Amino acid sequence: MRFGVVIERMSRDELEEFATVADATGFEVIVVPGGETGWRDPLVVAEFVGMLAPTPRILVEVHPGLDHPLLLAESLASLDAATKGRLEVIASIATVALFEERGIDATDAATRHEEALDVIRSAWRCLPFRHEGRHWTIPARLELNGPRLPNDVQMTTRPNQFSLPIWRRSNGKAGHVIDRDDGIVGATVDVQRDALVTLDAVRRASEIGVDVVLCQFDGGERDHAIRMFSRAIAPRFRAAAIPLSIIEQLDEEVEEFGGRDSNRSDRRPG
Amino acid sequence: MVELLSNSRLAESAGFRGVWLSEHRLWYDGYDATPLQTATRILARTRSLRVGTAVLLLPQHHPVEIADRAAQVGELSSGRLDLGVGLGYRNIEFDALGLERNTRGARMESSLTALWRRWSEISVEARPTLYVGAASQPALERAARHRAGLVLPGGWAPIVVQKAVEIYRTASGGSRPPDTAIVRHVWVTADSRVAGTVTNAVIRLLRDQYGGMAELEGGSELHPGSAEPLREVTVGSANQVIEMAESYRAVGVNHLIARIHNPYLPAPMVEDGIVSLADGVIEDLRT
Repeated sequence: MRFGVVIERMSRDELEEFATVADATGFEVIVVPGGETGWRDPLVVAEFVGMLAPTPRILVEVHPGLDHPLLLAESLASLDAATKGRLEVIASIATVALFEERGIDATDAATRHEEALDVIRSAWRCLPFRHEGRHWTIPARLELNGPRLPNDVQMTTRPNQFSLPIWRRSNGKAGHVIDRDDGIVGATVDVQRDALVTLDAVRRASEIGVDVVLCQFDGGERDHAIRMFSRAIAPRFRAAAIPLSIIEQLDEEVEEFGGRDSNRSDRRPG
Repeated sequence: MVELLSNSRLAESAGFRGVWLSEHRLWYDGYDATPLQTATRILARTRSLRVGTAVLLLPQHHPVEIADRAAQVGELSSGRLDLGVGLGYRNIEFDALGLERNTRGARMESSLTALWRRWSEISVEARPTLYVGAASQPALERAARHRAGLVLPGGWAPIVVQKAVEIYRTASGGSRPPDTAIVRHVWVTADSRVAGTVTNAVIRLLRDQYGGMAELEGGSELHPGSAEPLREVTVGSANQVIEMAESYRAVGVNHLIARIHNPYLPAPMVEDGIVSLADGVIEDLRT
């Protein structure tokens, strides 16, 4: 099992500290959500975080189909190169409100979304390609653009990864579940001040086969919560087999943060 | 990217006010298809340096996307973004995005209005400083209508710049541009061999970038620099560079954007160019 932190809207100083601490405490993923979290542009935030936290994978939520997919492909390739191949995306269908802001009819949101993903996959190879779909023709070869137009385009913004890992939101058993296109499953967990409550939530996620737990920390005691989670909870579930001596050490950590764990069923391979 | 970040930190420590990025796409000339993302990386690693775009090709984007992206950059950098926007000219770029190139002027006009409308919802501190790249009277008048600063072509002589500022003042009802920047290739050196190497690299860069694209598209709108590249180049002693800068300051330019980086020059030489310009010129020109 791997662990990530979800970065909600905060100030630059808070973001700088949060990203740095998440990296230093071993979180494998940093998630930059879109939608109603308040970030105006998750891609910019992902760029910022990528510069401050050099190790975790960066999972950013984007809306294929909202703007021209070639522009989004360039943005993602650029971010992937800058983060040395650590980029993954949650591909969400844009809301009606986002389409209305751009003066676009949201009726075809789903088909625009899927076609945009096709364009992104084609562009990602950085080879010449053509696309003729319901919503976009690339290149368009418009007469008014002159007689000497190429028959194809080739994205020259080169990503680092051979293919872009893409997640989609879905409604799973644990709620707030996301699925990656290769079958990896993720779920969000609200990290509570009480370590036992949090431990139970992660244990439940583990029991239903979640591969990546994405932790949402409340603003108030975020630093404390991150350190608690990274020291007392995450190690139990990362290793394939944990020696009893380590479990006992972790039990002491849990006690330190509050509560005694009487459920010994977690003393099994994580 | 490593070189860009390193040069940006060098520029900050050397006393430059900012660095500038430029946008193009789908071609192998080293331009940046995502300048606001690159700007974010530089701003994340610096504390006082400003980052600008000269220019971002606004008609190729949806203005709401650019407004939000620029505002986010501004919020994360305490307002250190200078957003310079321009029309763009390459047919293949517009065509790849399903746009007719001859609509770029109208798109720019509506997009500038949309930017200001969107930014009215965010704090003044986070708003980028807006510049318009202007190489024609309609563009100058458009910049004036939207209260934007100017980014002017480096090949314009001071007397042409003076006329441009007058056009802006007339269109704005008497106001001068809030900022007037000019982009020129600049290098401080007293060594004739270095001067020759740098000048040749600049000529090669301009002819490859602009001449090559024009040849590909079969058009006649060569960038002026490709025909007379030396018009936008000042390579010489510190006094010569200062004299050039003062000639533009006298007609209203308050911002010299020096093109130093060149893919045909080795990285250590570019670093020397940054330092020599800072050492020889910045303090004399800063008032």
